Amino acid sequence: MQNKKEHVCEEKVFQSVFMTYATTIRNYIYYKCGDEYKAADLVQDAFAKLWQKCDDVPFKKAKSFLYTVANNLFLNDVAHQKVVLNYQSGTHKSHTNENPEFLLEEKQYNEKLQNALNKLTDGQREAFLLNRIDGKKYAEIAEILNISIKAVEKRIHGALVSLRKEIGKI
Amino acid sequence: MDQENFLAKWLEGTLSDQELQEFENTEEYQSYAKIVEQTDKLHAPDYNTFNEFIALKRKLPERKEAKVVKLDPVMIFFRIAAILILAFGVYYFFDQQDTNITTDFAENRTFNLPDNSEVSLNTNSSVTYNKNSWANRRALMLEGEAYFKVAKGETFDVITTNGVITVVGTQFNVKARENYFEVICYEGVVKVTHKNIEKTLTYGDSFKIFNNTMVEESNLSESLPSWIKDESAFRSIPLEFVLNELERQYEITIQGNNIDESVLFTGGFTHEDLDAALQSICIPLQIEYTIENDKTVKLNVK
Repeated sequence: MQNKKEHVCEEKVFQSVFMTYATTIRNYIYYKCGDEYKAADLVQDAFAKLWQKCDDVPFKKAKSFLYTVANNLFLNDVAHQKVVLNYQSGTHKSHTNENPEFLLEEKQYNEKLQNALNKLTDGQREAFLLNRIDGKKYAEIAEILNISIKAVEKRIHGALVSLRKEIGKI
Repeated sequence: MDQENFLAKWLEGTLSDQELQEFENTEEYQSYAKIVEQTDKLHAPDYNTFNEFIALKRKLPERKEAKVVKLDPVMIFFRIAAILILAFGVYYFFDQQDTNITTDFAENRTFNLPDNSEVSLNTNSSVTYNKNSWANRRALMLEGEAYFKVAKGETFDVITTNGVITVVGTQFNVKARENYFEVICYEGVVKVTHKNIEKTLTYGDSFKIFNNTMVEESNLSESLPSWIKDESAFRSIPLEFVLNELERQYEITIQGNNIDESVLFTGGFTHEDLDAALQSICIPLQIEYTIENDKTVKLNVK
């Protein structure tokens, strides 16, 4: 039963849109600037704008509206910090018999990887992390970044090439 | 490897078998595989959509036409006064703290909402609502799992990260855990909004989403969720979610060795005896378990 009267001005729909997109938009901005508080603020500003303009934004356009607004707001004040990601080796997923030496190696590799990620261009980092961390398909990343799928592929390919170069160098 | 952007194609899994084999035989393959494997263990910093949404709601203006008033020096005094009154009013209006009720690991709790609707909160869950606005708008935020007996009246909204559940007067259970969302209706009619999908559930219907698959069932015979009776029951649910629930109920960590967590499990376990609970899960699946200490359980394939 698809709902026909899905309208962003409806509080329930608005809530649902927030619950669906807020995290990815926050992450997308975070991958750009590395400032999680600024990223969270921008998400709030973007949604506040959507709420004001809800009459003019059809449900289907809400997502791209949010990304465009968040992106525009972001361009206005850029102060880059290092992107720091949490490392989690999984709870009861697979590991058990990991010795301390192995864990230390993992830790060192993780540091190298994070440094290398920070040295990517913003475009490469956004595309690569949206794919790996947020599990977005290339087509969706293309929509988010407003570029072609081919350009996404190029960024991801480029990201992997530079990551390998950077990690091998250290 | 001459294909353009072949690393992107490889990551997406769209290389042909031959191309893939060729790539796997190159020197760089291992280092690329490791980069991807390690990146996949990374997470962005925590982001609590609930708290963010509550914060956002406080910022949202009422949607009314804005009036354009010309600047007049004489009016400034009145404007300042108006702003002060308004600010005070807004402060008064929003200062009413939200009520938050949380259960810890291995804890259940039943309590009443301001309209005498009854909420039973399963382990490691939380409910947030505003007492003062309750009379105008019955809405609460839920993380985790809860069973609701809703008093008759206006609509009643349960907001979760996975969707919104709207009812009038009824009994239903909501389970909103990581990657797992389930609503079961025990009486009356329940409306579920998930993204832009809207479902109406009547007595005996359930709606589940796990790992992005949607499952709908009807004609369930139970009259109460099993956890109210200190049991957890599952019907064709991947083992992963069953083990997660076991971890929550007993506050333990489960380490699985080569266990296939995607295998579907039908059955239940008690909340009162860990050994018995483990037996009910492990025996049918031919898994061996050892309770290492109070906090850790190891599973092995027999």
